[in-house]
Amino acid sequence: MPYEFAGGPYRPLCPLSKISRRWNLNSRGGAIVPSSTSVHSLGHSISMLAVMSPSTSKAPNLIAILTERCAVCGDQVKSDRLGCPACLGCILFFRRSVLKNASYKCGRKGACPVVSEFRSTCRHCRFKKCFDVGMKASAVNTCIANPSPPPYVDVPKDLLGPCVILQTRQIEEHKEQSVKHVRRASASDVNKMLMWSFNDAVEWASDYEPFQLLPNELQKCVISEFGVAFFLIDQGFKSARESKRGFWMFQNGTFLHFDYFHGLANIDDTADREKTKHHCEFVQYLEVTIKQQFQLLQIDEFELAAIKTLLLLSCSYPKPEIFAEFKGTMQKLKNKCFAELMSYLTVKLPATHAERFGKLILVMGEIRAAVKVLYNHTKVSDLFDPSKFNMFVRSFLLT
Amino acid sequence: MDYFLDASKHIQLNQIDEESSDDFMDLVDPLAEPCAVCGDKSTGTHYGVISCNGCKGFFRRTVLRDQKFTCRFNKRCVIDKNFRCACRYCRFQKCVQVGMKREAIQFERDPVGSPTSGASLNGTPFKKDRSPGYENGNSNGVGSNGMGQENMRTVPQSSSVIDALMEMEARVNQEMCNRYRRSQIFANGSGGSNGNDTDIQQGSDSGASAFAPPNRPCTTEVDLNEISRTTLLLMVEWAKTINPFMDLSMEDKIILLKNYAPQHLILMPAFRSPDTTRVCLFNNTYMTRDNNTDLNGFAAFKTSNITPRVLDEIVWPMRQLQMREQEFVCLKALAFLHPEAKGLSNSSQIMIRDARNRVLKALYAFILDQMPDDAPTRYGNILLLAPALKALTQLLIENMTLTKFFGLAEVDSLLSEFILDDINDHSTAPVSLQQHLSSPTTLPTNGVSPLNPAGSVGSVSSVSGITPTGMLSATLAAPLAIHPLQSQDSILNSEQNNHML
Repeated sequence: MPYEFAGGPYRPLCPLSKISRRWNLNSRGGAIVPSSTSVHSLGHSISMLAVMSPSTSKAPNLIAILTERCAVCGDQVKSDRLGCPACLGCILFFRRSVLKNASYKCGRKGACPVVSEFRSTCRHCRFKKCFDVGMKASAVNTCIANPSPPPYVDVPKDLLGPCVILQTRQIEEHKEQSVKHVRRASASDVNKMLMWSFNDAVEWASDYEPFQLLPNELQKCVISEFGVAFFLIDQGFKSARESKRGFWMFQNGTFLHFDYFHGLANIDDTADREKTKHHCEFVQYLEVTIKQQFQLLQIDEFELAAIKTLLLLSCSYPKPEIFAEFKGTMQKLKNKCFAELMSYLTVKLPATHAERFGKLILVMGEIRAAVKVLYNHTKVSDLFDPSKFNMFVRSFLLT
Repeated sequence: MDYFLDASKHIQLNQIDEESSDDFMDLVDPLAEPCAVCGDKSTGTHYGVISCNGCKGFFRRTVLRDQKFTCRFNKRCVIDKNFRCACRYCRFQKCVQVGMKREAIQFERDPVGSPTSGASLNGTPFKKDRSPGYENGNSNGVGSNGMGQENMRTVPQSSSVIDALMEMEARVNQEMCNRYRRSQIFANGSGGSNGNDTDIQQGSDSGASAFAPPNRPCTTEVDLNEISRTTLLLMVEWAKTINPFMDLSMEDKIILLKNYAPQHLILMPAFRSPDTTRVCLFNNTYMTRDNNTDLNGFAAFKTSNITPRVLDEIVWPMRQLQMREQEFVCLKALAFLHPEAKGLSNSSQIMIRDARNRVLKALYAFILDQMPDDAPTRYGNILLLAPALKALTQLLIENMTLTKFFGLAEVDSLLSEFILDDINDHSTAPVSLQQHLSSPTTLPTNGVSPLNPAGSVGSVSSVSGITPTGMLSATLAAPLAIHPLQSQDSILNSEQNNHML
């Protein structure tokens, strides 16, 4: 009591404004109270109450409440329902802590001063002082507590369904922008196909929160591999369905043939023999490892979407531990993808669903190896020469 | 009516209390510093970062409503006081980047808007799930014969495919243990003349338990080459038991072995490693993540970028899944049976595909028997090791190619023949390789291992000092069927035919 009385004249301006605001909120009439010392405020309020209230029985109670200080921090008293006079801030703090069954820790020695200016600095000491001055946990009303929000669902209910829809739309966009007449692909076609693939890969990966939360440089690392995988998967899917032996179809309808000069207008005799040999090996490699696998399996759109999603979620990127912070989320998404794929295959192929599931996972290894082969091919090829690509494609390829 | 008014006052007072609590959180005046996100005038520390009211509310709304934004530009928008509303994606990324924490949002205190519109809250708060990886003990990491017997006894219904693979795996492991127990005793015995009895005794103790924890790091190039050589020779013996292998032609056999050899060199140590800090090798040595200081040029270059990735992508998932030995032998068989290997004939491809389907079916049946609820998940996670293994294989081949090309260290000739490609096309083959290829006719009579004389004289003497068993001579004779074909000699072909008969 004497401490609070002695501290009165030295109170800074900020709590005065707080007192003014609380006084304003407490009174129903919305009276305007000027900024002044507490003595003047009390006198003013007493005179107002004397005028408004004809009965003399209420005045002593109100005066008694207004002259008391919060037993915890010394602020304006709101009520003594919890067992001792307390301000609204301490009442709500005590109530929240009791409802949450909170246990705080003091970063200092556990004897922090709890005054109205600094009562939020240490919650442990404030909570302890609430109990010391006589607040009772049993007096907290539990039925008005706010319900806790539902837990975050980090794995969607249907993972692969939206992916199939997105994939169908992307394939339709490829068809709309295809060339009118089938012709051999040129370096500008390769550049355009890589641009399409990187954009499709970014659109695909943006549906997953761990990818969204990565910094930009790491996102570029992920897309530098996942985008090339998109390039190969979409073209392999198109080649498996539409092209004959020896051809590899691009998304826009142009093709590569293992014969370097097939489809060219004029055969150039001075062409590099080493270059044509690398071209032949590259196209044959793509045909054997990806196109024939898709043809043998007769792969459909759902399985294709599952392969794309698993390639994004399985962490095997050049930089180690890109998704280190999201290992749990990635594992849940992966397990969800496995469960949905196995359910789909059980319905589609009841007798051989286990073998087909295994073959699809093993095809992912071929696609990942083909990504590396394509990167090696950019060093020896004229069609896949990065110096002929635009800045957008090069920024991914040279990551 | 009265309750509604009371709630309104509560909410307003909550906001006031929040402001006051943030003001004095650090006992330093945070109003003097600008907002860390946009540089505007800050109103205190919010969610762990000195920020203004705009960015504070933006972060809270984004998290509470679980909103997702996309950047229409290239995700490098400038976030300052004037343009912070132009791109919400980059603004949110910057909030997270400067350290705003989702956990600091007190969900019960901060509903978005007034309580009447709180009922239409469409977002849910995010709780980050960080499940730590489960580290397994050494006893589960290594499969022993007794453990194999126990597993077979507890699972009497397991397929004959897995039974055959397990039997051959046990035999190969036994041979590996026998070989290294003898070599370890011999090495310890010849360590020094002083205290010879103590050395022999220590050797016996360490030899008694074949799966003692590794006691020293892999420090020499000879260690690496020796392990690789022995592993490859035993791999050939193991491959002979895989069902369609003996029915293939010689060319297809060589193609399959060359395709599988680097994967074998990665898989065997990975399964033996108990945790993700080091890769354990079969002669009780280990390789850590930063192994550059001990090994010399070749080994340092070869393992510096592979060992961390082996630990992260192969060893960690194996320990996380607590992979059983039955599942491991199926994974090895699936990696070996590769119908898309370059140059295989059509009939071989068909046979290998059928064998692979049998292994896939047996593996899924085994997993379904062990844990029927999570069978697709476990099956998928085990099979996902195959793509990771394939990526690491390419890295290993690339490293060895560069090592051989630049002459950083002398690569063992057996390793070269198993792992490197197109060795016959090399017009300037080294003299030692030519000598090695021209001298295989003496091998059936002598029974000496085709070792590189310059690199491993000690190994030659140690091998000759040991009494060769039937398995050992059969294993050493196995490469005879492979090496002569490299030189395309008809005499060697007739030798091969005699050996086959």
